[in-house]
Amino acid sequence: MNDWQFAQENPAEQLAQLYFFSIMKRQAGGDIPFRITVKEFAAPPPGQRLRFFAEADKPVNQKTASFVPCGWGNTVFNALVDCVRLIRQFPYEGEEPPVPS
Amino acid sequence: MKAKSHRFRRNRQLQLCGPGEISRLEGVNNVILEITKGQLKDGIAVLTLRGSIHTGPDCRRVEQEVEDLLRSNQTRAIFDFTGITHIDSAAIGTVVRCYSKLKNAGGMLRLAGCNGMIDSSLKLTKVDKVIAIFPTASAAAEDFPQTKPSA
Repeated sequence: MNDWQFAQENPAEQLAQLYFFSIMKRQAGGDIPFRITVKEFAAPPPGQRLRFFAEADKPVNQKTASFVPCGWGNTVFNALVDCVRLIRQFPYEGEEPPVPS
Repeated sequence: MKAKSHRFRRNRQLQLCGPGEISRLEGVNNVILEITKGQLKDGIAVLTLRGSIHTGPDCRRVEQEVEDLLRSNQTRAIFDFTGITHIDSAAIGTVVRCYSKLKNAGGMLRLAGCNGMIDSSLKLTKVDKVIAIFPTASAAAEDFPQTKPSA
């Protein structure tokens, strides 16, 4: 257990150390840069059982079922790999069009 | 005998996975996935899932079940997650893929019984904004339109 984790008094505070990664998604039409933040929580946040959570900075698959690639695991590696896998598997289809007024 | 069978299935599952996936299968939350297929009113298919859903064979099995439904012209389905204790992000990808397949065939997918970790995961990935979630399979069935949508 690292010393910074003792700064947390309650799991609801969700104290976490952050790790930042960047990856280019290769797809037809050009490469898309994705930034991934992996949070190492001092204790699993409410509703989760694992301490590492990775989240991309933008959604994928916007035209069919838009969702944000994420990953979780027992290590930075496990969380990151899961998140990267979803970035690779689903197309980035641009920003969602604005709702007409 | 039951323990031996379970051990065989676990070994088989490990053999089917890539090296990067094995560590995940050895985690504490892994229970063999069971899928039961049922029917509700108006030909709505219900896939009741129990155990945990992880990358590899579990995800492939779920997608296979949806492809079987599509082959039998069933395009409206409910995933009942009441008995699911743990999923990984690959399972989220599988749910999205199944939703896309059913939608492209003119149908739809609803989720039911998403508790605890499952509910939290669907919210984190914002899948809950795209796929409707209901407390029970029967509540999800009520949300389907009366008539089957045309393909």
